[in-house]
Amino acid sequence: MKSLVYVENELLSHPRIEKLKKQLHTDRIIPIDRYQQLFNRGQQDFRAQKNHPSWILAKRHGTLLHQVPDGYGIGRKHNYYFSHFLNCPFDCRYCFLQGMFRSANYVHFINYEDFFSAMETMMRVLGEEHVTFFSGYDGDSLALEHITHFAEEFVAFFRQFPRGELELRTKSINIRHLLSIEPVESVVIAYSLNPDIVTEKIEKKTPPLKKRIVALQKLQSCGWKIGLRFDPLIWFQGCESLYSELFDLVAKELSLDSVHSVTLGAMRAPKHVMRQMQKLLASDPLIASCQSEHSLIEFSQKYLETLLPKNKVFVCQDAS
Amino acid sequence: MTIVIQTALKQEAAPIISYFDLKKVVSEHAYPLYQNDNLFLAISGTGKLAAAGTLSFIVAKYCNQTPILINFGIAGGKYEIGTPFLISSISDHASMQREYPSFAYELPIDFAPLITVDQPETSLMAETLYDMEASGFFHAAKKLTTLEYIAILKVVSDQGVSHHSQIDKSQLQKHLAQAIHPLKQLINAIKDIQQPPFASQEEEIFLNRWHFTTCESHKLMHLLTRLQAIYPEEGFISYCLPLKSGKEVLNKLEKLLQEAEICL
Repeated sequence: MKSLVYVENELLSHPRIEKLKKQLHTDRIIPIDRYQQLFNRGQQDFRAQKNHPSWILAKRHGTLLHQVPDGYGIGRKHNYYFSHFLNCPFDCRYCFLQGMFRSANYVHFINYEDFFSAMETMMRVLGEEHVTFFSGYDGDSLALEHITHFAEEFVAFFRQFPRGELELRTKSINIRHLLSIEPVESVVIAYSLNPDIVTEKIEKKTPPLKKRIVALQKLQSCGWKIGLRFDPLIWFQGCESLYSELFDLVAKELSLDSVHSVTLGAMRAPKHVMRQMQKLLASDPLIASCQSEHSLIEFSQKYLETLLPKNKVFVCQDAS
Repeated sequence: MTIVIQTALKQEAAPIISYFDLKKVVSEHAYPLYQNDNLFLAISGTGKLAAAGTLSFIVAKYCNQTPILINFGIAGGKYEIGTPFLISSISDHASMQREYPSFAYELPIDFAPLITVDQPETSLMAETLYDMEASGFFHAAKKLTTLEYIAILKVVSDQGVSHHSQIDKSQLQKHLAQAIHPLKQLINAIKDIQQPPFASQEEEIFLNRWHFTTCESHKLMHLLTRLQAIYPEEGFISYCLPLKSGKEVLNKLEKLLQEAEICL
């Protein structure tokens, strides 16, 4: 059976829709007025949808670039995040999206040109000051690249704007396109990493650690800037020794001299979001315990600063 | 897990009654109701108000958890007669409102949009089905259960008639009987996505031993559920036995939770 694809009426004749219909192997298009009609309604079962999400092709209206809170940057003065996609094929138990959204269906905002225009305006307004744009807050940046061609189009855009920096945050090894093109100086491919046991038991449906390291090696050897994101760090019995092993493995397998940046962060979500996650995943011990252990951050920071220059290690937490 | 199937006509219900061996529920219901264990079938009569009213009544009277709610029946449309369709969108002709069922499963059944009309429609648009109940059924159903547990399965009966009496009855019976297979597939698919509720088994013991306000009893349930997720083999009453008040119990459970260490 082919998937159902919902499309906003105003996009029915958009050139990207035809391509997406082919990529999604479907001719079952259901016209809708606005994606919120489906996405924001009550009485949805997030976990049931997660196993079989529908696609909603939509146009992002309103504010396209959102300021990143202080304390979550990677060295630049101005930091903005944006989302071309809501939700993700991966099923990480700690993911705040399941507490934040009512639906696990995929919303793909196809008006890329509006994002480009907003970024261009932002860079013009900031003049000589540098800015980083972060992708991957509301869904993995590369996991569905073979369908969305998001990275392909945004990397091409940033090739023209070296003053703007783009971070593509991912756990995916979907890097075929990136390996086929010339690297772009202002693009950072940032991988979320956790020890094997966390990946296996908590980061469901994600590529194993080994494959992520191989992807990082390939990207690095092609000349791409890479970032390492130990975020969220997961607190469990014996975690310190497994995180030390992870940091040592990364130091052994990658060339740390050319790593763009490393970030560390605790598991975090606003209270109401965590409450919703606890409802949805009532039997999950990680969500039930909801522990945000800051001593693991300190431990990891100290450990990593023995392997890397201090100015490359950033702790992501509220600035206050 | 309760399943409620609603049809408008006795003819639509007949193959379901026969296949699932349903027995008539004898009571003073205004609607004919059939049952076998946790499967109910209600015949509402024609029209969206009848469909909504019947469904609300049956669910209120017989269902205590989120039930599976299915509208099954015939629809007019310019498709091959006898083809079954899952309904992907329901437009109410009178109110111009449109609703979308949510599909969290895959089935080898085609989808079609549907318009619910108040009077039989004889001039039909292509690639659209027409009925007289679905919008009322869906409007009521979405208030009674989770969206993913609601579905509408229609069998094409005609390409536009002014009354259902004009439809060839023997052909109709045959097509409806053939639709039992997709109906079974649909029920099984929805059953598969339902998750059993996860809750602490100890709540009653705590509530009987100490006094908790309504707010505190919600908090108690929340804490016990979380603790049980972390320590599935353990009971928590023994930690609290010496305590005198519900507040002290809640503090103790919170402390246990803070001290919990996750093993991977």
